Amino acid sequence: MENRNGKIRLDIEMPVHKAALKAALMAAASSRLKMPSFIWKLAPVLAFAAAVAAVSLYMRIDYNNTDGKVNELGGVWCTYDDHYQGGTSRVWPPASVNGENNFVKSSPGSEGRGYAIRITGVAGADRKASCIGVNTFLSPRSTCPVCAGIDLSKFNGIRFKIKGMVEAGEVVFVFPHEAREADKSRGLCRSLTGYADYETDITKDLTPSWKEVKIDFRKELKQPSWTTPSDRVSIDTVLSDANIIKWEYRNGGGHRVDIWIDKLEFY
Amino acid sequence: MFDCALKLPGTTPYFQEDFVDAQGDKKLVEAAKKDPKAFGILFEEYYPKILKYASFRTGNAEIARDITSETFFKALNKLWQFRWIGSTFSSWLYRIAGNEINMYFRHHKYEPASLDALLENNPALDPASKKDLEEEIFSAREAIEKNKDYMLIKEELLKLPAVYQEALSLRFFEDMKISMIAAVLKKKEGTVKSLISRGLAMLKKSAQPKTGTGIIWSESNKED
Repeated sequence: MENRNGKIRLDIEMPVHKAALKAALMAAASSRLKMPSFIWKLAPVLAFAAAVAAVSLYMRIDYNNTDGKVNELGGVWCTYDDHYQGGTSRVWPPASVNGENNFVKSSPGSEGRGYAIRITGVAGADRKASCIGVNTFLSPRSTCPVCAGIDLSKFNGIRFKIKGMVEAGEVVFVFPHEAREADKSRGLCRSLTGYADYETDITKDLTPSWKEVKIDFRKELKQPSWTTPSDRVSIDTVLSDANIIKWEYRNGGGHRVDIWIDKLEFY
Repeated sequence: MFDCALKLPGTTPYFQEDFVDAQGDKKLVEAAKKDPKAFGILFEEYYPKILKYASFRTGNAEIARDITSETFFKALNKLWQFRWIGSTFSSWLYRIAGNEINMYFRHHKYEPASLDALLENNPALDPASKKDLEEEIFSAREAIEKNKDYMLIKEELLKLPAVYQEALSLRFFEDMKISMIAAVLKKKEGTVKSLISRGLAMLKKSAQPKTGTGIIWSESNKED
């Protein structure tokens, strides 16, 4: 141990430890080699399978660390309301009128930094099925007219953080099932369920502070009671080609809603 | 020379000298996947290096010893996963050690999973050896604490973020080339150069006025 030629040297020797460690390692190595050889031949395959399983545990949709209209899967965020059906519901950020996308993220996000998906507005009192909402597409090719989905069947559900205020009506998470083609009359991807989409009510999860919501696709999502037999479809069919997810505020009777969503991922 | 010979079933003999050539440890590592003796040769070569690295990084003889043990146990257990793609055995081993060291700094304690395996039924550890083991630690601790230059540098080094500590330690204590450090840290060479440059600037600012030892912290006399 010395300072030679301007360099620090630290010559530490531990011969007893070295001998003990080597003996323990050799014993461990010998016992490993007593296992049947096919185990070691299979080991890379098993490791690959384990790695794939680990990678498959979750997939980020959008953590909202950056601003913009596009999520981490490459799909766009959009808001919508019932104005195109003649309703008086109005959402902010404003829904598209002529094909433009007016979406903007708000800040801060759930950890006090970054951004969040926020919608606010009024679900009109003028009609029974009034609504405002926000949706996000799940790939760059998920929007109309391509309407291509991605396979989510290996995931159990979705989780995200949410906070907000709702005075009346309900907030639902919606998982539509759409064809890979446009509904030309509406300029949207064609519904394969007659809009009887899988959904779950999350109104109770809206509190003034951020709360994590986990939705198990197979246990918690249901098609509405008014679904006709021809529109019934299994959730696994929906998951196998998913192109869009939505958060929708309905039947607010003219009341205002304010919803913030962040840290979205499939798990 | 023939004491170092290894013979695997169905192969021609090969010798330790073969392994310390320009092709690195490739043959030896592949042999070690099947033969403990080959792993023993790798251990002999790398034990002093990893112990030295862990000692420099932690400044704690006991922790350095435990990290060295854990590094080799992990290397043995994961050896079958090791592939010669973008990594040498040496850089892989330093990476394992670096991860263990970072874990120690994150949790401010270190509990190696391999400790039981090391101490239980170990033929190399009779009661007398266990006493020697303790004395060895006292001597190493003393050696570290008496090295004033190192103690001053250590104090400043440990104030830096872990990634700077790693880059500077590998460059100046281990004398590694930039390409090797890049392989250990899994970063681009440009990033490593920048880490070293920024780390040096931070270290020079805080360390040299205190030490006054003339320790060379310069990239000018280093090979890439």
